[in-house]
Amino acid sequence: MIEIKNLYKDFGELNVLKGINLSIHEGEVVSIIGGSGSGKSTMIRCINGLEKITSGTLTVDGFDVTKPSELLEARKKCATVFQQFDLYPHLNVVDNITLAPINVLGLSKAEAQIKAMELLDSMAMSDRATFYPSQLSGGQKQRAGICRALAMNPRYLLLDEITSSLDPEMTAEVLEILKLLVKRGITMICVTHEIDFAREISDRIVFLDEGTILKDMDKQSFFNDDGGLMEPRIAKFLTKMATI
Amino acid sequence: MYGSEGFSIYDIILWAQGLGVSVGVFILSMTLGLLLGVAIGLIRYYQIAFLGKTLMMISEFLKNSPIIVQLFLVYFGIPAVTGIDMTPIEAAVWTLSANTAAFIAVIIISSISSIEPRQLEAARSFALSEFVILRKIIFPQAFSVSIPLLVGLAINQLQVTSLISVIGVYDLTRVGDIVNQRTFEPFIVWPIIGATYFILAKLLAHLGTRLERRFSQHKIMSEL
Ligand SMILES: Nc1ncnc2c1ncn2[C@@H]1O[C@H](COP(=O)(O)OP(=O)(O)OP(=O)(O)O)[C@@H](O)[C@H]1O
Ligand SMILES: [Mg+2]
Repeated sequence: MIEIKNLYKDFGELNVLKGINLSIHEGEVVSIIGGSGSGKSTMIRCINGLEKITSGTLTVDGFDVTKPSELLEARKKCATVFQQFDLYPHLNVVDNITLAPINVLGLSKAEAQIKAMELLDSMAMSDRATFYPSQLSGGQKQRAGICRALAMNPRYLLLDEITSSLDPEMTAEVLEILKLLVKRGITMICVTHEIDFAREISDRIVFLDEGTILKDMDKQSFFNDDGGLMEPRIAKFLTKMATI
Repeated sequence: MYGSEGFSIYDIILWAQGLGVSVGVFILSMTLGLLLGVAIGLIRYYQIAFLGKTLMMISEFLKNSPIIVQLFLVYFGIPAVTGIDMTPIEAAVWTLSANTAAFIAVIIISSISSIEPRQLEAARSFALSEFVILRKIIFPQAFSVSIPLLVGLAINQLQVTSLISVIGVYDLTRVGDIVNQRTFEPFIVWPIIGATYFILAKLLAHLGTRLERRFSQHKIMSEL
């Protein structure tokens, strides 16, 4: 379980997260939506310890990300897919995927490569295994990014707007893959602007507004007229997203 | 001793000795300079506070003062202050190493900062240790960026070795001076000495190009 209690995050004078309380259980698919600048990315970055939290507690399966000695364990349970892919440009696709499994999980090179090839195969990417990131299309880069995350056997998959640098065709391609993962029962925390997609795959929707959680509801209730839509800000946000 | 005595077979031996000394000092000071320069660069990159500042001040002095002054300072100054005796060659190697290190530190820092930092965050998020990140992600990329700069520096430092004759090292330039004074054939002696440096520099450049090809495969591939 990922447990966030009373989380505050400031950047100097700027209070970005203001008292977040959120628990994510294994097997859940939680979509995080909200306006630009509401703190979604910051929250994800706090979970994987890339951002130091100002106050509050954040634990991943009991490991406290604020303690250097526990952060590594917490990080081993989460794997992130990034908006800008952030692959290692000097390594080919397979080496991108196997770097952490070899050096963190202690797999042998051969084991890690077999695993990587299986993952690539499942995403119709095996013919790109020896390509460098600069030789891939955006959609292919993101599929490689997903493989890199899955290769860590994460308990939690963190996704931060992973389709927003992709064109619609490639977006569809990546979303299909995510749907498959959800069917297999992965736990997913998914920051997204794809409302239809969130509606289709999520168990829960969390709506973030200016650093606070405005609504944290199961999907059914959220999209009901007497659910999330009761909040004017959410209604406004959803209408805006629908017209894009 | 005075007046033209012509060349002899021993001049070739002298030339070879001078070449050996120049190349030896160059290789030693480049190697030491590289180790030291990388260390200084990393200390700066990881912002080890006091050490980084002090080393940077020393580097600034080394980069911005004439190498001859540095040679005199080390050769005459260090024995005077510490009582440690130094041969000219030792003084030359230490001075050139420190001087090279100062320039290499700058190259290291700038090539590390050319690496897109988000990929390092990604690596950290996968629980990779800072050491693995340094070895497997930062180093290979920084190295491929820095090769042309390092080769340029090496070629420059090779020419700089010709200055060590002022503290009495019998390097290639000193040999040229000796032979020239004996034979009075400057238009034979100096072109030969010059050509020797030239060939060494070209060899370095060639080596650099090969290294660059090897370590920037991902860049070359993307240009295909
Ligand atoms: N490193 C930082 N330093 C200062 N301010 C920051 C930093 N990172 C984020 N912020 C600020 O924090 C706020 C929230 O940013 P964040 O990236 O979390 O928003 P977001 O909800 O992910 O938005 P978007 O939908 O546009 O990605 C923004 O106002 C942003 O400017
Ligand atoms: Mg964001």
